Amino acid sequence: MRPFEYLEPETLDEALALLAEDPDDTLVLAGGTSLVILMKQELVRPARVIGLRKLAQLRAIRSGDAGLTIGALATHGSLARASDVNAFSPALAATFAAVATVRIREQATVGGNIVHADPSQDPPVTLLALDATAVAMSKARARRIPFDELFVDVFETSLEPDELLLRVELPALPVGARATYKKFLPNTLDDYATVAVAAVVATDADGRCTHARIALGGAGPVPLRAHDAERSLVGRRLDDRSITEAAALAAAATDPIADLRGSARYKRAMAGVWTERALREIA
Amino acid sequence: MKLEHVVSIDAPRSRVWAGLMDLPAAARCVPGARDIAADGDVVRGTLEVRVGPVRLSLAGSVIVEQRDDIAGTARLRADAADQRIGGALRAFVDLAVTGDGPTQLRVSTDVAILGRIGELGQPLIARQADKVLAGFADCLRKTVAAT
Amino acid sequence: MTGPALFMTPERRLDGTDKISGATKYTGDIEFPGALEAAFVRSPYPHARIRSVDAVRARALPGVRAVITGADVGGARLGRRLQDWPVLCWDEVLFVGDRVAAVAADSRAIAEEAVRLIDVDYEELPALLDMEAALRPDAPALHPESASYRFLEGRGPRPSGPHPNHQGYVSESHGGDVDAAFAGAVRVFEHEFTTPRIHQLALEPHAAVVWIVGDRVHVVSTNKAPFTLRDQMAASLGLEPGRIVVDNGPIGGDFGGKGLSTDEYVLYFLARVTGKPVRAITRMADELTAMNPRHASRIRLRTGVDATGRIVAHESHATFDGGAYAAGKPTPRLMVEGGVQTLEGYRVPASRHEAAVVYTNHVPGGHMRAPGQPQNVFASESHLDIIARELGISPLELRRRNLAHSGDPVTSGGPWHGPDLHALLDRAATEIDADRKRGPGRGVGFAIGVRHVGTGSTTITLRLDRDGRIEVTTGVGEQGGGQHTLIQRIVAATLAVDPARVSVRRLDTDSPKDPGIGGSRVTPVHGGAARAAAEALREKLGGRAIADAAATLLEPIEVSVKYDATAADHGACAHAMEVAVDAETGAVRVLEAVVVVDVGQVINPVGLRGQLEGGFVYGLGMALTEDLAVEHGRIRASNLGDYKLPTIADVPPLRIVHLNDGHGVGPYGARSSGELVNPGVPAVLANAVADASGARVHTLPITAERVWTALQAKN
Repeated sequence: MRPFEYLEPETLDEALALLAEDPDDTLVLAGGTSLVILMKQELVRPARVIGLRKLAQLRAIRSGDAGLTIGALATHGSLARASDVNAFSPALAATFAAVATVRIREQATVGGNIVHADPSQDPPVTLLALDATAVAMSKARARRIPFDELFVDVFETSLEPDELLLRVELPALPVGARATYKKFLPNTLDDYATVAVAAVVATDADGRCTHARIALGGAGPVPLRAHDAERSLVGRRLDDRSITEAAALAAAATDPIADLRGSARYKRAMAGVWTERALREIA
Repeated sequence: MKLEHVVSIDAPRSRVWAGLMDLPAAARCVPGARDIAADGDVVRGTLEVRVGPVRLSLAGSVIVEQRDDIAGTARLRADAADQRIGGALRAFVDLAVTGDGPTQLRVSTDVAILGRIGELGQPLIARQADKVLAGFADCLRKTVAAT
Repeated sequence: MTGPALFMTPERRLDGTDKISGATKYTGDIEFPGALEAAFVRSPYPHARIRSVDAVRARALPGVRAVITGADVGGARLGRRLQDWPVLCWDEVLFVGDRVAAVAADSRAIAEEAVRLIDVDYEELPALLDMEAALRPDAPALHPESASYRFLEGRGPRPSGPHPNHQGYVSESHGGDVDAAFAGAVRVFEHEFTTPRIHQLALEPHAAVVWIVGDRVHVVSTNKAPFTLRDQMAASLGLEPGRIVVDNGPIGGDFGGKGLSTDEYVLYFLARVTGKPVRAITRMADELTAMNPRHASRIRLRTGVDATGRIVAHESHATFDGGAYAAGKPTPRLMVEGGVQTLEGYRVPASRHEAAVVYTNHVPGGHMRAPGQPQNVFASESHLDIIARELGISPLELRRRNLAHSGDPVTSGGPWHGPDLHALLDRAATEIDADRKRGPGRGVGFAIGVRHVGTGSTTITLRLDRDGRIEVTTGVGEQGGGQHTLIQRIVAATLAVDPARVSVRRLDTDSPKDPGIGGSRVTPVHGGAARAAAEALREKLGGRAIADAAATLLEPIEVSVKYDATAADHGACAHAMEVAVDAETGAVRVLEAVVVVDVGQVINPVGLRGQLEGGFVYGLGMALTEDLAVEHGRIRASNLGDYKLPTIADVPPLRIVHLNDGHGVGPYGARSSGELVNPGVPAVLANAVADASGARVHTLPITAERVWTALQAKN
C-alpha cells in the first residue's frame, strides 16, 4: 500500500471541511472492507484518507411514525440485530444478515456499502424496494437523493466528491405491506448474489395489489427497479398468472453483466425465477 | 475481449467516413481524451477513465493499420499504458460503414488487457470500454451532423 | 491387526499451540535486520519477444538497491526435473506472468513502485493457447532448444513425445491385443470430459529469504522438499550442493503447490548483487495467475463391454495442458501420473492409455493433491455411470460387476493389490441407503477412489537423554499435515513412552538427505523410519524400559536409521452422495455425503479426520466452484473474491466410515490418507446430479448454470 495522510475528524463540520479542501485526492474510510482492498491492490492511491470512526452520531438507527432512519456508519451486523429495523421490516433485517460473512458484517457499514455502488451488493436492493432516500451533505449544502437516482453505474453514484453520505431514510410502509429479499447463491454461501430480488407488496381487502416494488441486484450495472413488473401487478390479485407475468417483465428489465457468477442469459432467466419465488412468498 | 457497436448516423456515408478518417478529430470525440496531437500517421493522446474511486490515465497512440475507402472499412490499432496502476490496453478496432444517409457504422473492438489493470476485473473493463465507445459514436454523430 | 493403544487416543499436535496462539513464525514472518524486499516485472503477454528492458527510472528511485534482468542470470533455468524455465526471461516470455526483471529495495512498496517504472519493449508473438493447436503438425515448437535443457537425476532417458510441444508423453497397453478385445465387445461407449486449471490455494503464499555468507548460500523457503530444492538450485545456478543450505520454517499449507519454488533463484542473484538478505512474498494475485496450478485436461474414454456389462476393453486419450514450462513436474516422465491409468480399481482385461502433457502459452502446470487423479476419476466414474444408464443397469450394480478383486487385472497392468473395493462400495451403498426411493429432484451417486501408498527413503535419528526424554531429528518439515506428530506418536508407541517425552526437530539440509513431503509418502516412509529407529533404540538398550535404561546412561545415546519403504499398496475409498437439484435454477445442494475409506491403521485420529474431511471439502471446491478461467491467455481471477473456494458453511453433512483389511504396508499397518478422498468428489457429485435431474455435466466445475443449461437442452 502507498503512504497517505490519515485524518480523523472529531465533528461532521470538520470532516466536511477536510473533504472540501481536496475532494479529488481524498477518500473517505468507513468500515474499510472495500476501500482497503482497493488500496492494497493499489488500484486506488489516495493522497489523503479521512476516517469517520469518531463521528458516532452517524451510527444512529432511529424509527418513528415517519419511518426508519439509518446512520451511514451503522454496521450490517448492528442493523441485522436492531429491533427497530426488524420491527420496520424483517426482510430488511434479513438483507443485512445476508451480507458476506460475520467478519465483514461487523466491520462494513451501510453507508460504505452504498457509496461503493457494487451492483452485486445486498442492502441497496432492498433499500431501493423500500423507497429509500439518501441524505448527503457537503460543506456548501445538504441534499436528498432518492435511491432511484443514486446509482449511476458500476462503482459510481451521483454523489459529488465533496459530499458525504449521512443517512438513509425509509418512509413508513403502506399498511399490511409484506416484503422479502431473495439472494441466489448457487456456488458458495460466501459470495455475492448471482442475482437478488427484493419485493414489497400491499393488497386491499379484496386481495388486489395496491403497492408493488420489485428491485433486482446483480441484474445490471446498478440495482434496478422492475417498473413494468410493478405496474403490471397493481390492481390485480397476486395469483399464478399475474405473478408469472410480473416475473417475465422483471427478467426483461434486466441488463446483466456476464461474469464468473453467470452469463447474461442465465442471470436474466434467474431474475425471472427469483422474482416469481419472491412474489409467491409474499402474495 | 470483443465488443460490438452499431450506430446509425443520419448523414451521408462519405461525410461519416471522412469524419472517421480525420483521426485527430475522431480521437477528440473519445470521452475523456485529452492532449490529442498528430505525429505523422500516429495520433497520440491520453485517455482519462474513472471507475468509481479508480482512476486510469492511459497514455498512448492510435494508428490506421488498414484502410479501404471504397469498401468503407478500416482497422485501427490503439495502444495505451497507465503508470498509476501499471498495465496497458491494446485494441484492434475494425470500422465499417454501410448504407447511406442514414449510414450504419459498425465498430468491432478486440481489447486485450495487459498487466495490473486486469485486476479491476474483465466485466468492469468491458463495461467501461462499452461506455467509451458509445460516447464516441454519439459524439461522432453530432460532429458529422454539424459539418 | 490393531495398533498400540496410544493410536486410539486423540493426538495433541506438536505444532498446535503455536499455530492456535499465532506464535508460529512462517517464512514470511521472519524479520532479518537490513533485509531487502523483492518485486518482479511480469509479462503481460502470453508470448512475446523481449526487445529491450529500460530500468533507468527504476534504478534512480530512492531505496532501490538493485535491478536485474534476464541478462544477469547467465542463462539459468529452473525446474524440479526438467529445468526449462528461465529464472528471468532474457529472450522470450512464454506466459502472462513470466518474469522479465526483478528489483530489490528497502521496502516492498518501493520495490513495487520500481517495477512500475521499468519499461519493457515487447514484440508480441502468436500464442498457442489451446492444446490441440499446440499439437498440430505445423505448430511452432515453444522450446526449440529443449535438447540443451538440464534433466535432473535421470532415472532412465529424458522423455520425448511425437511432437516437440509434448512435455511428457506416455503410450502403454496392458493385457494383450486391445483391438481384438474391442472387437469382441457387445457394445462400445465413448465419452469426453474436460476440467479447468484449479489452484492449490494454501493459505500461506510462497515466500523465501536468501542471503550469502562467505561461499555459503542460505535459503529459508516455503518449499516442502528442502533437499530437493537445494539440489535443483545447485544444478540451476552451477553451485556445489554443499554450498547451499536450505532451512525451512513451518509451512502454512501445501496441497502440492509448495513443491515448486521460483523466487529463490532470483533472490540468489539479488542477494549476490546487493550483499544483503533479500526476501520475496508472493502476492495473492501472482499466486493465482503465475504459480503452478493443477493441469487443465481433456480426457476421452472408450470402453467395450460384454452382454452382461462386464468391461472387456478400455482405452483412454488424456491431454493435459502443461503450460509454458514443464518445470513444475517432478516426475521422471514429466507426466501427471495420476491421469494415465483411467478406470483405476476396475477389472479391465485389456487396456491402452495414451497421455500427453502439452506445452502451451499458459501458466505452467504443477502438482496438486493427487496430480492427474481427480481429472481421471471424474472422467472414468462419469463414463461408467453413463454406460450403466445406457445399458439399463444401475450404476451401483455396474460397479459391482466390474470392481477388481484381489489379483484381477487392472489398468496399471498388474494384478490388483490393495483394500477390498467391494466391501467399501457395499458399505457406502448401505450408508446412503441406496435402495430407498427418493422424491423428484433428488438422487444418489457413487464413485470409487484409489491412491497408491508412497515409497522412498529417509533417515531418522533418535537421541535418548538421561532424563528419559527422546529427541527425534528428521529432514522432513511440517506443512500442516501433522508429519511431526505422526513421527512422535510412532516413536512413543514403539518405545511405550508418553508422547509428551518425545520431541521432534527438523534439520536443515546439512543433514542426511530426505525426500520431503509429497506423493503420499510421509506415513509409509517417515512413519516407517520412525518405527525402525525406535526399534533400533530399544534393541540398543537391550530391550529394557526407556525410563530404566535412561537412568543408567552416562551420556545421551543416539541411533540413526536409514529406512527404505518399497512395498506397493493402495489406499481406497468409496464415495456415496445424495443431492437435490433445483430444476428451475440448476443449483445443486448436497444433502448427505458418505466416504468409506480403508487407510489401514489410524495413527493420528484427529489429523486423519482433518485429511479425510478436508480432502472431501477440497474435492467439493473442484466439483462446484473452482475455475482459473482464462481470457486472452490471462487468468481472470486475481483474488479470492473471484476465485471461489467452498467455506465451512458450504460443507454438507459428511460421514467418514473406516474399514481396515489389516494389510496396510506402512508402520503398524497404516496407509496414506492425504490424497485419497479429494479425487472422487467431482465424480460422485456429477453422478448424483445426473441421478437427481438427468443433467449430465461433462465439464468441471458443475455450476448451477451448467446444470441448468444441460436441463434446458434435455427439455
